[in-house]
Amino acid sequence: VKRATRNSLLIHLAAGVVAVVILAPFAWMVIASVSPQSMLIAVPLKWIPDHLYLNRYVQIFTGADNAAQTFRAALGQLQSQSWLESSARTRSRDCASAAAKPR
Amino acid sequence: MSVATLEATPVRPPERPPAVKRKRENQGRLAFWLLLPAGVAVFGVIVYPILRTLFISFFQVDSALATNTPFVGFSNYLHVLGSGAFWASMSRTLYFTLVSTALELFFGMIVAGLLNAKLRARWLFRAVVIIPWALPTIVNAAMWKGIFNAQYGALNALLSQLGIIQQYQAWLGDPTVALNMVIIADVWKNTSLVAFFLLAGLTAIPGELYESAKMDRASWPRIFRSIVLPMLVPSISIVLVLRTVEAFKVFDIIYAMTRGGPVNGTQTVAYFAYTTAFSNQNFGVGSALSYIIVIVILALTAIYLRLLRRSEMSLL
Repeated sequence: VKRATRNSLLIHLAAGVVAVVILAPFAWMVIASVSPQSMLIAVPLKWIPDHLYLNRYVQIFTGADNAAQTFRAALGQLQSQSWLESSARTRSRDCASAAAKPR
Repeated sequence: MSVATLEATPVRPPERPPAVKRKRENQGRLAFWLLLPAGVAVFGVIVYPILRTLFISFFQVDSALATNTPFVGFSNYLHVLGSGAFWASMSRTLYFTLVSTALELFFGMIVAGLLNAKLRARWLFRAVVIIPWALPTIVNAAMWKGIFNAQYGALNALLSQLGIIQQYQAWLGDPTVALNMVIIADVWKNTSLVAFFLLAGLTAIPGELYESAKMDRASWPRIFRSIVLPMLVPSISIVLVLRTVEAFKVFDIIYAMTRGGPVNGTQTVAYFAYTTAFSNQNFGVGSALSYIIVIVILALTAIYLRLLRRSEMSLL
């Protein structure tokens, strides 16, 4: 029984090590995406940012620069938000006029 | 295989009323028209480029808009086989293929064993292991490129904070080191696929085999050698063929991480074909190169199939 618990402990330990090896690079990518640039290039690197920096996400979804626009286009959201809104407005107007038109 | 056997055995009833026959003919015609779009797509996207590449490989085409393209026979192939750059990229590709496939199999075996073991939160562990597989190769390459960065990479930060290195290293700056770093990134990503393939094989091993082995007081290495390994031959064979072929034609991770650099240190044969055809605009030689890759992969697969057919357990 004692040997079985020891084996189980070892297996859990190994699984933990594997999980850390898999998660560490991925977690770093996630952390880096919300860290300010100045912290990322600091030479004694601080691993946890002292404040959340979400500007990149904001920029990707609303920004006007090339990369952000390309990303949105790749997601199939070719038109900007304002265009969608205006087209929705015209469409509803068209619908209304079509409904008003006698057949 | 089942289709072939069905066709081979004449099970058609001797006579049919004409109405049924006509209906069958109509159905056949409908099937033809329904399959036609798919057939056109397959021909246009797969067959035509393959044949076109073969055609181009016998001509001297050194521009995308070349008008003078003389027929040169096999001289493109001879040019490739005689160039030192080709053999250098071939040896790098072989190194990449051998090392990455071997490491993926080794670690994949360990991870598969852990995935199959009795764990407290097994569902969670399985979910974690699937992450690298789910990551697109481009994202994986960009991620590791950032980690290996010479000025502010996370690997440099980690190793120097642990006191292992004194100075930041340019991990992708030295030709041989860079190749090994690309291998690490590739192994990190593809080990999970290998592990899940092997897990499928592991779960198929009946528990009685382990029990009887325990009755015989077999040690763990012995159980592994005499039960697990032979029972895993089908999964190992599939994963080996898959990974070898994939690693041999590796392109995307190289393109995103190093672009074949530094000093061509990570230029694999597929990347060499790409630069020859599209950067140097030497489409004839590039086509010949890609056909040489195809021939090598065919040869590799044939050797594998022959080796694996000898073992009875193999599915191939």
